[in-house]
Amino acid sequence: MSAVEIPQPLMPEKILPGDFAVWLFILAELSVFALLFILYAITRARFPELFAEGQANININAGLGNTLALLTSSYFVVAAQQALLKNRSKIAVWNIVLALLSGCVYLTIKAYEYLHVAELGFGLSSNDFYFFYFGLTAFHMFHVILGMLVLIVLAVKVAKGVYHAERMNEFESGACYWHMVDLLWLILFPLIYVLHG
Amino acid sequence: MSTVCKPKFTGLKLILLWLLLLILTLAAALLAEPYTVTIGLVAIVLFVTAIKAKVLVDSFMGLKNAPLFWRALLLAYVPVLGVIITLTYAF
Repeated sequence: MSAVEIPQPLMPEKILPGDFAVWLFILAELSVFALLFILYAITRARFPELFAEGQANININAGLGNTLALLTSSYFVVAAQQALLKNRSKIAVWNIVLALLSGCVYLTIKAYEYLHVAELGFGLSSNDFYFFYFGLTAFHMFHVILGMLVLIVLAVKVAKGVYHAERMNEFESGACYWHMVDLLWLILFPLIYVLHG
Repeated sequence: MSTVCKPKFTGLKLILLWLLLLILTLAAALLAEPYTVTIGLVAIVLFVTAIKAKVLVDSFMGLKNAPLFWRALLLAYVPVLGVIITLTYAF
């Protein structure tokens, strides 16, 4: 029997956006944070009263503001990506600037939040709750600052015309890193701010 | 390496997804605020978080058409952590 070529249906190609190396970096970051989240949860289970007292001093509205700011910044990064895919560089740059402004809102709220807790007389070494609260949120904040630096570099390169619809890989890497920072905050928000008492 | 991508969705869909994320965030905060935390409440709040994570991973990160390993890994991240965190409230 002769072999007959059967036409294969066209399947969409599976593509990982951005550089593979960036995904390995994201995997490492997610693993480190996962460990910290689990350590926080276990320690909270051991000292529920201590954590409830500490969480009562943390303003949920600050956490809410942080979440909305990061989600909005992620929205603008996707909007920038979409504009770039249509070769609309100026719109892409403006969207990255708006994402950066959202990041600044996050940093401002975080500064207010830390000042408020410090005014109450608590610091990193006050007890286990504040150790985790400052440790986790500050570690995350450093990632936000790093992400903002990445966004600045992306904005400059978009403005210079380095990226366009056919050359998006590096841009996608930066965008995915930014979304990872957002993903981590999605867990931090309920863990520290919402699930209290 | 250069990848040629097509726009993932329209501007309207992007705005709707963003609004969905904001609404789910507000809902989780409002849901938990007046009550003492119970294991059921923890599970509900973390379930809402998992829905938000799915939107972020599939639509914002663009992993809906990514290789299965990476998509599964990112999609499982929040639910797995959610289950572990919920279990710590049981003890």
